[in-house]
Amino acid sequence: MSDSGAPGVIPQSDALTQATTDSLAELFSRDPEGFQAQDRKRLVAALREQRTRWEAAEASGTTRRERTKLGEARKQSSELSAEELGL
Amino acid sequence: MTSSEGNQESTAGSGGLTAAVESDSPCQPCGSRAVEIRPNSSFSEQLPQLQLGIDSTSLGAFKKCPRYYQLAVLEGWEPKAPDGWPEHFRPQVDLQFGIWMHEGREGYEGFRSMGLEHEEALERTLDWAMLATWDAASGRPWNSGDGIKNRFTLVRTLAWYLDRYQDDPAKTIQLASGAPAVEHSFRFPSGFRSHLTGEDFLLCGHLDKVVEFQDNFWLNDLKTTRSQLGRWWVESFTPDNQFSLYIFAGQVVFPFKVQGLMLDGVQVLASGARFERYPIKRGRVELEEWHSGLGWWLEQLEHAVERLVERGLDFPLNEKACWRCDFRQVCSKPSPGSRKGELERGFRRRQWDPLKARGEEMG
Repeated sequence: MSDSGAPGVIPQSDALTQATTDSLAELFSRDPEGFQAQDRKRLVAALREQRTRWEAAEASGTTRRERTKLGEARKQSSELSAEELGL
Repeated sequence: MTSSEGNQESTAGSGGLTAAVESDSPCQPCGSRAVEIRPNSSFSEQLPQLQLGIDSTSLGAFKKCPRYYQLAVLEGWEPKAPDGWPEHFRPQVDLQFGIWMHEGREGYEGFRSMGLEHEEALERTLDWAMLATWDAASGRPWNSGDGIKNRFTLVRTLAWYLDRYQDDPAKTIQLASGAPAVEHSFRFPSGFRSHLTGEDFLLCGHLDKVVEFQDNFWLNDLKTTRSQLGRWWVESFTPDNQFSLYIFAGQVVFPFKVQGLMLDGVQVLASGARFERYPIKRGRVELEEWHSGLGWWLEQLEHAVERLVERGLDFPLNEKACWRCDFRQVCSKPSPGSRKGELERGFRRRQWDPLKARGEEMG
């Protein structure tokens, strides 16, 4: 891994404004050996932007999520009570 | 000859459990093929066809079909990769995708244990994933040929998963060495001994992660799937050989009580990913029954090895397990000799040695 920028200089980033699908496609087409710190931030930002859109679509039901009687099995561990875990 | 002295031919109709075959020509008169066994530390030195270090992959393979076990584990065949694939990429997309997800999670844990904040650990992990899926020799990325599990969905799923669990209430425990308890290797005597060599069978493997949650200890594992997450999916893990072995091992190798296994289910889709976590438990009686069954399966393994070594017979085939099996095209051949030709045309050798640390299994 290599980092850009001179030591001691506060890094500046416009990663969020560049986080588009186009930037993802460009990043995935490149040799990652040449990635700079800025590229890694763009990657994370673009993937987060996709996640935000995905979660909005999930919430609105447009991802065709199957809504069946999945019940308790879907719960997160953070939502599980000690009793449910058999403790 | 010990198992560390290079390739070795097993016996094939020549009599005697430890006699070696001098050529790989078909056994006469049964026509079976000689089985080449490569050196492998999880196998007996006295009887190189007998696996003593048993992990869930090996045991699961034998339970699925003895012939599948013989081909995939004992002989180490796997389908050849498509043309142009680098040797270090596994040809089975689901397997390779799962390996990288596990490695990415492990790497992230390592970065966090070094004191890195989530953001930097995530960036470094994704950087690793981009590099791992890039073939520097050809200057091209991993092309899985799969619309759901591919390079992009791998990196995206890893990013979303790590973001989602960055403040996980289930905290990875630290080992005495200070390292996080991830990919924790274990081995211990199974309680069963070989009738053929007198050696102990060992249970071994790697536990993905050990976590503390609400003052209790749990194993944690991650599974990616193309299927809908939910009750139907999670119920497929009870009963389940792998998780029973892991929970059994957890009770043996740690000085604290392990409550069970937290399963992180990851549904991978072309357009996104879903994450759910499920508790999987095994009661004392269930574990005792699993262990008792293990003894029976090890006896069957020894019977199969005995037949192979003394009579040159391939391991028995379970025809009920052929659906979508990698070796169906091999086992559909009419004779052992023709099976060998099919193996050499469409498969390559790769050693599975569960006694080696992760990343060293490649033969």
